[in-house]
Amino acid sequence: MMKNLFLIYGHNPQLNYTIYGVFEPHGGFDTEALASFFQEERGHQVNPSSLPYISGILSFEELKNHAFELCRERRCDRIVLLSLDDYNQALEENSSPEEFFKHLSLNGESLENLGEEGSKGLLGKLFR
Amino acid sequence: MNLSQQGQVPKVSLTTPVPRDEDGTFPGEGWFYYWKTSASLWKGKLQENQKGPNIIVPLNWSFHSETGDKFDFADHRPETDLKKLCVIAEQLNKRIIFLLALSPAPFLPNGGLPHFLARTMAVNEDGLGSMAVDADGSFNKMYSFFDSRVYQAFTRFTHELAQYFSRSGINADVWGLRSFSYCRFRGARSFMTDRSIVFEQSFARYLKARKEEKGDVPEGALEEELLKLEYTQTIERLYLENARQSFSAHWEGLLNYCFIGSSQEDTFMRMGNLHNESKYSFDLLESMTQDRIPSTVLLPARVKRSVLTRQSEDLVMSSFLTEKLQSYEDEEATVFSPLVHFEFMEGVHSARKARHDWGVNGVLPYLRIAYPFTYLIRPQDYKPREEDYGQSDRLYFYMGSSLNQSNFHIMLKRFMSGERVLLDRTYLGEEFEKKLQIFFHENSLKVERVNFQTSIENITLGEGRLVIFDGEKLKELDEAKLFNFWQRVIETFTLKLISLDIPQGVLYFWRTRPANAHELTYEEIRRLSLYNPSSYKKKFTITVPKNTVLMKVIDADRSEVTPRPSQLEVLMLPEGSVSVDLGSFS
Repeated sequence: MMKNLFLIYGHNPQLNYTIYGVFEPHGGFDTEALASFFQEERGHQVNPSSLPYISGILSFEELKNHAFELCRERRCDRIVLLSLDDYNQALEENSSPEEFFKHLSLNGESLENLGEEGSKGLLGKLFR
Repeated sequence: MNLSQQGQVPKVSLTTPVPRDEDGTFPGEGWFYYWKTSASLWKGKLQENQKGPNIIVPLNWSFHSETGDKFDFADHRPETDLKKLCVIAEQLNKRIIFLLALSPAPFLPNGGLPHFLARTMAVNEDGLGSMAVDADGSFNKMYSFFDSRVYQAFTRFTHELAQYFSRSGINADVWGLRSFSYCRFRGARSFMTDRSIVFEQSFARYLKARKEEKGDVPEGALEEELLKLEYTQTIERLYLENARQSFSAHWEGLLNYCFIGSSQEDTFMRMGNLHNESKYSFDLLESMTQDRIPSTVLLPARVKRSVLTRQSEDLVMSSFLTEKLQSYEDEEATVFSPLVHFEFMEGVHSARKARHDWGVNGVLPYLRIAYPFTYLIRPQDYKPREEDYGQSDRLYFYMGSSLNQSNFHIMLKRFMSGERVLLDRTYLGEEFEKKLQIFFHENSLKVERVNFQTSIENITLGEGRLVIFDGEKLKELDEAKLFNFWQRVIETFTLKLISLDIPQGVLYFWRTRPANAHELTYEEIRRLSLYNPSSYKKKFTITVPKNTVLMKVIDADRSEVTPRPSQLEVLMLPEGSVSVDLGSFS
């Protein structure tokens, strides 16, 4: 069965792209692990006042690069990038967690991790 | 002391839940979900499962009305028979406490709204749909309470419910329930908060009416955010007044509950069925500093293991909640209350625009390390009673950006009553700056000016002291300088502070009560409760403060306290907890 990772993001002119949450149907990240990954593995300056979210990602391309690395770290088959609207729509239209995750996996922008082994980075050490 | 500062390794669990039958009906803390079990089983189940003196019964609006215009109170389904529930409680010698949700309730599907009213999903300040994960893993979505149809239907429901109470001779207390989540980065968040299209439309009408009445429009993002807060509070009061008037004699007051595990951060974790138990323990203690009653009813039984359950029983059910429930009827009750040295007026949060809270100028992060959980953050609409003025062992903090007329007057009244007040003048409105100058002039008050990391003004009037500082400049300081700044400032006040050197991973919470007739040697009894939610054994020494004597060690669980001269040696195993009572004298 395909192992999906979901990333919820938003965009506004002041905070650029913001990651609101990253989760799987059976697993996910706590804020410390996610912040450490961005700070230490990705060299992204995490703004403490925006926590528990990760803000200040300058472009959608940069967001996708981070997302892809997260996907590799977690050895997931793919990561689905969902905007706030995608996420809210999934919540509105689905009542059970199963339907919700199915909806998420069929929407948003998907990045495939084509068979490469996950790295031995921070999240790999924390979550395997 | 937040978790990242403590350097704790969060205990993250990922296991398949195995719910017991009772978990759904008895989510913990004396709560009873009457609609989840057959009325014929109520008595037996309550007899078997309900341990404390109270049965807390949240009223489930949608269970009594599917259509909004027809109601079932013991008419069709026996499980809607609240009178029967009260009779059973009386037979069992228990007190029923009904909770009537005045905002979306995270423990109920649709936030408690009948299905036909669940039309517009509430959206939080960040633009995320508002929802909470229940103890059984189901998603409870919240719907806007700013929809006029919801308010009208709520009016009908409370009216019908009150009529039913009166008709059937129900004599139990009804409390209004406001629901909050707690986020360690952002504090308490009301589930009433909404930025959905329905909210924005009704807020636009409010602004229009305000403009017609007062002729002003909000200038800038911060002012708009403050007005949204003001509007939200106005609507909250409408729901409250409606319920209060409907229930009149039965109405007891308002309870603000903070549901552990319901913040957005927790929600994303819980979507993946992950729980961080150490964080929940921390959040439970922090919720009390926000003057909210922490509740773990949204957490599955398997994660509410020893420490969290003990915190809930010791600190909340037999102390904090008891105090809240007694506040209206027994002012002299001598239960332990949280020890508070620092009182804050809540700041303003706006994820998209600016953040003006007590984390920004560094005072709260400092206190979290130096004097954890001895602060209290009051909501902006908090109004002290006359007898609350004149507290000598407390510092009061006000934030310029979120001052309104009412808070401004309360602040000055505190100062004139001999209290110690600190004002961060960041974004203090011109009007208030002028008023302050006039106040100083009219009372011939001398303003001493000091420059230490930022500009500070010190004004004294009898015992009262007002310190005004520019918090904006403090943002430029690194953490060490900021901590040094706050340490130096707080040292200038005389407070009965107790600083403890407790190892990382151990949480502790102070409570206090006046000495009773048998304890006249002391002025005050302080109870220190220690909890070790970590997976490691902890051994440490506590220095017994001057003018303080160890009275007793209580509720030791997987822990040992050995008294030594002027010291206590403490050994705590994983999941251990213990409390000590200390008598304090001058």
